[in-house]
Amino acid sequence: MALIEVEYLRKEFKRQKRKDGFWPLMKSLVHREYEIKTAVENISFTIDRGEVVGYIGPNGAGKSTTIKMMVGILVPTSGIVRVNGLVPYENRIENARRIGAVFGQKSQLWWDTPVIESLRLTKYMYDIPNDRYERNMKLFNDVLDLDEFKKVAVRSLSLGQRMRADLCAALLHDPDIVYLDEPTIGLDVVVKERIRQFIREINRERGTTVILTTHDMADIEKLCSRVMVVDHGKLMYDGNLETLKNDFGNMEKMEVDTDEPFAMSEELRRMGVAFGLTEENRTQLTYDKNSINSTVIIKWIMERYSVRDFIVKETEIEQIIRDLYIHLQQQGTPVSAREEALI
Amino acid sequence: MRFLKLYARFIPIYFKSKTEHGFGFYMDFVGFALNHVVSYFVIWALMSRFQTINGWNMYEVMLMYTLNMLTFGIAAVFFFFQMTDVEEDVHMGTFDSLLVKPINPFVHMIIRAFGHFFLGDIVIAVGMLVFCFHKLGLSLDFGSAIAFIAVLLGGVLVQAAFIVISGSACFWLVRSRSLMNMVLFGIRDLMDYPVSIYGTVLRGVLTFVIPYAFVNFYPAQLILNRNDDALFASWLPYATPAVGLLLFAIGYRVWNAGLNRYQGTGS
Repeated sequence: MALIEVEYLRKEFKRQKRKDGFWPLMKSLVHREYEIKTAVENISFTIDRGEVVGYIGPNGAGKSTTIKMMVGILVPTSGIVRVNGLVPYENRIENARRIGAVFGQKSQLWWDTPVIESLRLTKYMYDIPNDRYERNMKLFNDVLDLDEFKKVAVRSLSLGQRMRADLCAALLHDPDIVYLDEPTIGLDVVVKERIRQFIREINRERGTTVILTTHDMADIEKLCSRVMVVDHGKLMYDGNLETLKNDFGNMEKMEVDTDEPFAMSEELRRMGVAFGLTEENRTQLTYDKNSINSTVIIKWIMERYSVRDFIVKETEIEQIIRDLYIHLQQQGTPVSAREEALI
Repeated sequence: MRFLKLYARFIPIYFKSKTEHGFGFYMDFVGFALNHVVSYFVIWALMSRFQTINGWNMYEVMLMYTLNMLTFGIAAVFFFFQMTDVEEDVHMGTFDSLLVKPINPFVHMIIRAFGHFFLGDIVIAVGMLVFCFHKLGLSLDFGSAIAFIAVLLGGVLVQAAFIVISGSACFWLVRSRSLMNMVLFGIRDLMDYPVSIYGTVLRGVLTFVIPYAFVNFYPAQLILNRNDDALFASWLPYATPAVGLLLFAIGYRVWNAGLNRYQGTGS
């Protein structure tokens, strides 16, 4: 049986219509008009024990809303969520015992309390036995290095320290599932790497199921075996990362600095290269890396121009999602990425 | 039991983190206390000029003020800052953290803070209670002491219920601070004087609609023997504990309704 089952999950929010002008505003005091906004629209998926799932999509796509329904914070408008056989919003407390949650922007710890005391309170709240608490603390300390700030009040921690403390608190009670909402947001490279390492170890050694949302492609690449892409409340893609990148991340961008201005070339265009923004001596080129190799292009250019510098950029996750979205809108008529770039 | 055990864990840590502020911590006690000293002084100034208000003498009026302060102080220790914290959480969007913990959010709300601020009020109120009793020549035997404590606890529950209800408004309005202030430091101030000095309508409202009269007026009737002042029914003073329990139950229902609304909208 799957650990998490989500079927036709839907969440609508009623939002008051904003009015401009004096009279419409006065009218709205008496008669309020509402509009329905669908944040999550008929999403279905199952997640098995031990999976590490990246739940990605643009801002406002419905990621956090879905996670909040899985955690039990929000009640769905319709559809089914079952975690460990329990309906989270009906058995919120029972469900909370078995999960850990970290919301990147907001701490779950007690604000004015020193980290070590905050963790001790977590121990009491989750009824964690002494030996398990000591063992986990020692283990987590090795990776997260909590000692250096354990006596500092949570409110005085730096973002990176706070995130490490929150991760520790979320995993002390050995949860089956841990939900991480943007766990690496705003962190420096070193802390990001440390946190990724921690998540990897927890998953490998304890078989903890991890569900994380992120905007950082590296999080996905280094951690996730599976990716779910959501946009406008709909699940756009559910599968492994490689397939996603091959299907939709095939457009590569190259920036070339040349001594003389670069002239558009029909020959390059025929090779499948599209010209993007050109300013002075810097030229942007996009191409499908599955049909043409960057070395072929750079060789062609170097034979004709003197090249000062060039950069090859892989497609960003946001671009992949956009391409995926366009593709899904026109389902039935598969659009190749190359044609899109030319549009 | 689990609740008390958790409470015993949380409160020492709360105090430890508060006392780290040093001087400010002790100033907290003094600030509100000064306020009350001024209030007693106003009652003294007023009453030494008029002798009685509507048949109530100075020490009886002081007793009214004292009981209102005492019941509010006790309720506020456990609920006041706890509810303003909730409002802050709802406003900042951090309330979610109470919903991912394996504990009733109502319990969590209570145990994560302590209104040490109001301990000063309680000390003053107890002192003034003894003083008023002495001046009024009141003494309690064992039976009447038990009865008096029971009605006081009823009054505490009434005060707690009003804090919870007005504070829970944040689940609908996001900001509930002004409503809380209006109820707790506006309407409640009506009780600084005996409710029998007001007109029939206001007496009725304060007894049956917003039953603030049960925080001091009805409890005091039990010990003051002012039968001529009985309002509505002579047994009302004995109903105080039941009114307190009922109102507190309503408060808990309002909190839960607010929680349901929050879980529907997430804001």
